[in-house]
Amino acid sequence: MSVGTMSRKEDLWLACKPKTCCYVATVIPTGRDVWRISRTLQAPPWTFLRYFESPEPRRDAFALDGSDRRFRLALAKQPSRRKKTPPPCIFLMRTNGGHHRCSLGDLRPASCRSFPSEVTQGGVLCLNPIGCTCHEWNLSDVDVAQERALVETRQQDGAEYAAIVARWNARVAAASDDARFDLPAYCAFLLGAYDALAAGAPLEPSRE
Amino acid sequence: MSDAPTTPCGTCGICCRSYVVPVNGYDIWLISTRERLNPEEFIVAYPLPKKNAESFHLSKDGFNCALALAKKGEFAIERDCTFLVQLGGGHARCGIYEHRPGACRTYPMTLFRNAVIQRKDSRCPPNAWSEEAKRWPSWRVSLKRMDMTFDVYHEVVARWNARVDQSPEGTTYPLTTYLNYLMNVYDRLGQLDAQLGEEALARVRENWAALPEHGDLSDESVNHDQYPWVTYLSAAREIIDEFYPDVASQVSIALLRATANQGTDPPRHLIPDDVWEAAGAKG
Repeated sequence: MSVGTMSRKEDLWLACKPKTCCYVATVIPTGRDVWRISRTLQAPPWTFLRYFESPEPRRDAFALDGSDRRFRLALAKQPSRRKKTPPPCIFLMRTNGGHHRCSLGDLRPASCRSFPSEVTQGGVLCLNPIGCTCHEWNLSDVDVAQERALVETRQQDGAEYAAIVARWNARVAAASDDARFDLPAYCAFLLGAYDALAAGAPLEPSRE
Repeated sequence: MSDAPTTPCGTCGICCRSYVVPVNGYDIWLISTRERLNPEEFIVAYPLPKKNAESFHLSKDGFNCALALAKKGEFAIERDCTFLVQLGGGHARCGIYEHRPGACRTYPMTLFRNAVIQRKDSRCPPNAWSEEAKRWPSWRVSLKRMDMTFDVYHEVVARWNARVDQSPEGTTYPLTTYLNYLMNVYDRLGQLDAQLGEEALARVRENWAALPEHGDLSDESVNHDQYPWVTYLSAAREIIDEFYPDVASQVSIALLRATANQGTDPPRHLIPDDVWEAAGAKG
């Protein structure tokens, strides 16, 4: 029944009332994020994801047909009638008193957990990007070792996801010219790939 | 990754839109401390038609009130729970799933003569719960925990009500004062639980409200180690009695109820007919 201890960063994040970052940012999850959320919530990925065309080639951009077009995943947004503010993340809750909370808690994507930090030239940096209106972040707000681990996890998950995307893209390229795939098909592939990893299967190298 | 078994709740959420969710002090404290939310952000007090063990009042002649989870927007039974998150494709999830109240955690099951059964009045779609699902051990743990937390809450409420009744004529307390009292009491009760540890707490919970056959704990032949819940209740009451020192210790509602319940039946409307008949009960 005890509450346990929270890091200062968690405290600051939970205390933030507006959660502007959850409105402004488009959250790009890794496949591992998608798998974790989907399996834990028992919700198909397409119920909380959207995809958009990537203007440039990226290692996490996936194909849906034989063309050069590539797409990326993003967490969906809630429907919103407000025109001046971007819509909130689909997982953002708002109390009647105007406090916001992430309903994912510890399940939230690695990019949310490591926000707003980066590791540059071997050092941890707290950036102050657009999207944080409640607080000006600096290193005294975080446990530096913990923050480094969060960023590294995000980077490792990103590399792992890139390998899985490459396998998918190879599969699409090998399909017939008129083959078309949709988001649920891609999501089913992702869940299968991460299920296999969880069961101990090795991460196969790309054949693309 | 959670190893929790698959439930039919992922695509439903009917219960999150159909009920007033009753909460006790433990539920409020847990949500508030884990989500770092002021209780007034997610709690409403509503008047009860008559007094019961969980009803509190804010002035001597004030309404009997109980606490429930707020709804999105204005409070109305059929509205979405304040914590319900709507996903695409009709899917909906509880946004505080890990810290959800006991009433949500146990729904749609209840204990009938110490057996877990599905509530007769549950709004789950037909056959949503398989027979195997109804036998998950987690139901019993959650149901016993809810019994325990509500029984302790009744003691907490009794002390508050005695304090209000003893206050000078014309005194009315704001709801915030009551919620602050709850947060303080449960912080201390949380420390008690932490001292005991999960293993000891599990023994307390499993045995909750059990009494010797003759119902008399003062009998010297009774091995008190078999009834750890009584020791726990005493320790909890000591903590509760530290608040408002001018107020006399109240009679233990939990002990009174346990004794009165010896051999009695739970509310009939919660029990499916077939289970009732199979148990050999009279309709």
